[in-house]
Amino acid sequence: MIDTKRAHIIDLIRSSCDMTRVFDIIIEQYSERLYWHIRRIVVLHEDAQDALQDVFVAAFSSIEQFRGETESSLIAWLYKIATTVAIKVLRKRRKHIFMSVDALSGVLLADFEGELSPDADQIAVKLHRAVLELPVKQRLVFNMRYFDELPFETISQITGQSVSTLKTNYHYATRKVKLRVSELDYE
Amino acid sequence: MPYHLEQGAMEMMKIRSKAAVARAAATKNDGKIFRWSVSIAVVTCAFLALFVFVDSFKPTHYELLMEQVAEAPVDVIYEFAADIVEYAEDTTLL
Repeated sequence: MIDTKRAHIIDLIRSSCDMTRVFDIIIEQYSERLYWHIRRIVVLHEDAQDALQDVFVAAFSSIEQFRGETESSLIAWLYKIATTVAIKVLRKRRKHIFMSVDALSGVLLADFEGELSPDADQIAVKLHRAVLELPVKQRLVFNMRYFDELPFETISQITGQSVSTLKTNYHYATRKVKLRVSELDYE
Repeated sequence: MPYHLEQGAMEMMKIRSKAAVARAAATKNDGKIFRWSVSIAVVTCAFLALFVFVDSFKPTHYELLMEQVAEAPVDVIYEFAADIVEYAEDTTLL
């Protein structure tokens, strides 16, 4: 039995022969935040559920390639896989291969209406509607910075973009979201 | 979060993910064994092909015999031919 309180997750990855048990711990610890990260990208619960499973299988298959030394690097690595899998799900939903993923925002907004919780807070609904109208690059940065509160350095590791580019994207995204939320107030 | 998520759905997803990882772990070694088997088969086939290719340059028994006949004196050839005829008569081929 692995004592998770005493042992650091990275030490477990480095030392454990029983990787399945280590992944049980990883799944327990990171499922929720990865699920919401994916759900904010793909919107539909069924897609997010399947994608989450694919993320852990992909992570398990390539755990030997993980070279990180800290828990934040593990989080960044898992987020990177989750983002790739979620974008793949979005690509599958396109009508043809030349269609941009950004053009799916109309479809995602329609899905969002069907996925709303009955007791959803109206301000949160408006915010999410505004976020879904953003281009994918800006949406990813906004989601990870605003909702997950990840530092720009970690987001840079996940997306492969420079910190300055991410800050610019986040700045534009915030402005667009503020403007769109105020517009939705008047609608 | 404005998204709808049924109660217990998160726990179900964790169970599903754990099961998927366990399945992946079970088939990971199968994949390794399969890849090793294919590698061994490919190397064996490559060696066989090389052997057949090299062997095709070796002279056949007929070519060796013809070489010997070409170099042999005439009386030896006659003697050899007589031996063949005698052998054929003995074995009722003629």
